[in-house]
Amino acid sequence: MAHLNVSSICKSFENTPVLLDQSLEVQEGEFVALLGPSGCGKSTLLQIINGLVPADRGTVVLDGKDITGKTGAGRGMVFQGADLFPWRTALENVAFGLEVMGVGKSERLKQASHYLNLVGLRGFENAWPHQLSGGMQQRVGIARAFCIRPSLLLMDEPFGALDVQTRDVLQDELVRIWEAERKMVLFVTHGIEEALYLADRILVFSKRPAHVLRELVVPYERPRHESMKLDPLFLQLRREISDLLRHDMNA
Amino acid sequence: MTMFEVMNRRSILRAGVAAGAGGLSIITLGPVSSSFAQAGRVLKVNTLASAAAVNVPMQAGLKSELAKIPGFASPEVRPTQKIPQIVQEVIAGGADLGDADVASTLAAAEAGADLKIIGLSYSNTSQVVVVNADKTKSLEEVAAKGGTIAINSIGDFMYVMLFGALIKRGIDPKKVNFIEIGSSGDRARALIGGRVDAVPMHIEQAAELTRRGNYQILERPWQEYGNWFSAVVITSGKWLERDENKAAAVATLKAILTSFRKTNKDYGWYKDQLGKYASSKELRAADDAFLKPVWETLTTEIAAFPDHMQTMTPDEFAKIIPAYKEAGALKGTIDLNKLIDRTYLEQANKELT
Amino acid sequence: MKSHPRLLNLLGILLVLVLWQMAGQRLGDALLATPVQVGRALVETLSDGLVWAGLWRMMWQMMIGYLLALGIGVPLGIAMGRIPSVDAVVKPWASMFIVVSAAAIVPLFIILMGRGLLLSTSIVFVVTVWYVVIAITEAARSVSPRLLNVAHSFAADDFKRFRYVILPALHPYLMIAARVGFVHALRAIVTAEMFIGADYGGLLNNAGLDLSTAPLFALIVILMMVSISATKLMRWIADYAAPWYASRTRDR
Repeated sequence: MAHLNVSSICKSFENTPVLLDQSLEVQEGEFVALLGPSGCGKSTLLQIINGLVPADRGTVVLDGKDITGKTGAGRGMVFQGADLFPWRTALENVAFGLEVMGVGKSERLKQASHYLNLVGLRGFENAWPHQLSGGMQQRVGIARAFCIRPSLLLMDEPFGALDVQTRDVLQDELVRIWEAERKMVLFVTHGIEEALYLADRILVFSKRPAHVLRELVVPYERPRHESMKLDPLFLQLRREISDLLRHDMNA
Repeated sequence: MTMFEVMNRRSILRAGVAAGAGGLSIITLGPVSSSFAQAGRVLKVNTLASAAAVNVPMQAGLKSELAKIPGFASPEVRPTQKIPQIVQEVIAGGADLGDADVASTLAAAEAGADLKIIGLSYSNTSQVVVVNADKTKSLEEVAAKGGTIAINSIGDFMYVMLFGALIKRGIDPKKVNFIEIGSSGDRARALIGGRVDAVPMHIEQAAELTRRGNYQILERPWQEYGNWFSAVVITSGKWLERDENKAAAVATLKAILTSFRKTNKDYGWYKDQLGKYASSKELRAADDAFLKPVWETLTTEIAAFPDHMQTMTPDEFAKIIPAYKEAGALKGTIDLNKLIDRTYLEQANKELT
Repeated sequence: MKSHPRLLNLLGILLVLVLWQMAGQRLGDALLATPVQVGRALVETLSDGLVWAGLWRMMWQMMIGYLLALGIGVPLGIAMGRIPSVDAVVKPWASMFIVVSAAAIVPLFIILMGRGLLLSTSIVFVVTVWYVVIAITEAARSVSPRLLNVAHSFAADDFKRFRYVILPALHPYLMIAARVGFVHALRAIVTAEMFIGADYGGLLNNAGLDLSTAPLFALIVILMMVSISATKLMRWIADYAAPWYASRTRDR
């Protein structure tokens, strides 16, 4: 039974505390958004869970294993700017994680091809990253993370650099893919609407040092539709969170 | 271009080895393969980079005559672009013998270097001073207007010779700008281009230049001095300590003397050697109308190739020292009796008769 | 559309040749041989075995020093770019030696190591290696930390990050360093050979003695052709080996 347990994480950068005693849990199949102002420390928390940044204190336990300070092992990361390897074709980028794991060439390319199809990029297998649009690059980034079949998907403002139309399309794509392969997701964003639209649960973070101001279970069933963004309850929740963040900023 | 012929076999061997055994082994195998390729000792002799008409008998002595003496192979004649480098390599032991200019030899010896002059690579000088007669009428005129003369390098024999010649004519050399221009070809071009007012060059180059315009010889230094040493055969005292090197010195001088004598006696032989060993393509292809007068001047008027190198005495050298002092190239404290060693020359002359 | 820049290129070359011809006719061949005279000298020079022999010997001697410079310069450059302590030790020397021209060190090297293969190899190596080192250092230092992070987060260890990120990121710069290094190596060997009057350098010296500049220009043109075809060949290899880079730079 997949489960993420993050407890009592502390992190300072040169005596400036960024995270103070932060804990969170994610249940199997749960989509959790970490929402907060830019630079509040939510990305740092994600990097600590990913193992790229060491925590000063605290533990990260995934599926019963302590993975504090280690990378890999069950986690797939989608980066903000896609960050594809320019010397690899789209297909080879998707296969990267498997190649690191030592999966044979034909097997990993077969798998990669499956995920590239899943993100709607059939026919772009041999394209170089610079030949793809920003949205297509991020689709490759998502496929790359899915391809290693992680139990936990980490996404660091993956749509932050995209234009609004592309972002809306990709949000729906992400949900579609995720529903085909339900796994735990930690999704860092500063977009309130994006968090409400995508997540089962939202953790609203304060400014630095980050702590959770409010935990909110999104009261909408799946599959969700674009129309919910006009629902009165949706708008009300959006305003509440917005007020909460504004109030925190001015405190 | 003769060094190619000398180095050909060696280099081809080297290249073959390179293809088979890779880079590093060549460094060790190079000398080995060369001694297999040629029987006898291969002397390393540094000479000036260019072989003009006046240098050819020396080159011919080394390249045509030395290998005829038992125990010696054709030497590795190594053209050197910078004149002082010849002396430096002899002192450092990188070369067995040097065909060096007198100025750098005297200066190094005065500074304490362990050098010996054992022969002449040619006696006297064939350098003449050439001007564009449309623009310049006399050396006095050059000095008066603060004109420019191009030479190889400040302090070399050419510079000192000009310096002395100007003083003899009552011209203050300090009024002339001397500038350094590397090769004689470049100096000739500087004169054609009007960048300089006068240029010293070998007599055969001057003859060539006169075909291109109103260029005239204003000064023949050998007339001023009677004899002006310019290039000598040198080695180090340390090198001469070993018996096989003493023998090598005698053999080399015999080869050069033989070449000198053939040059003086036989125009046909000289022309043939020039065709083989002159650096300049134009000189190699020169016809009799051009070459014969040059040969006559060199062998009779200038007497550049004395049959017995009889001019190589401390007394004769002493005559040019004052000019060096005046030009600031020497202090004048040099001991010529210690520097000039006639032992090997005398032995070579004896063995040749 | 595609042939258009080529046509302009050709026109440019033609224009320079015409101007050169006019200038040469005014100045005379002792100062500036005309393209026609140089062309004639070129044909004559190329039909002379000496040039090919000299060129061949010069090139293989150069190649030894050049390959050594790449073989040592590339790993050293990567180490300097990625390991600060190596950079701290080597960088001061690199920035000092890179300004030393071949002409300045040849006389000293002749005295130290004679005139053989060791000399040419050393000169080429010493002059070339620092350009390679500096170019590769800069490239290695600027390898995207974000891409290294991506690899790290996919659990790539140090070796795999080197193999999958640093090496491919360096690839285009390696090829550039190889091209730039080649030009420096060629210049160094020509300088060294002119000092010792050997091989091609000796031919250049001797051509300089002639009153006509045409034979000298012919030899220089041959050197240019060697340099241009070698760098063209290397560019082609680079494009073949790194199509992603070729396609990216072409699209710009």
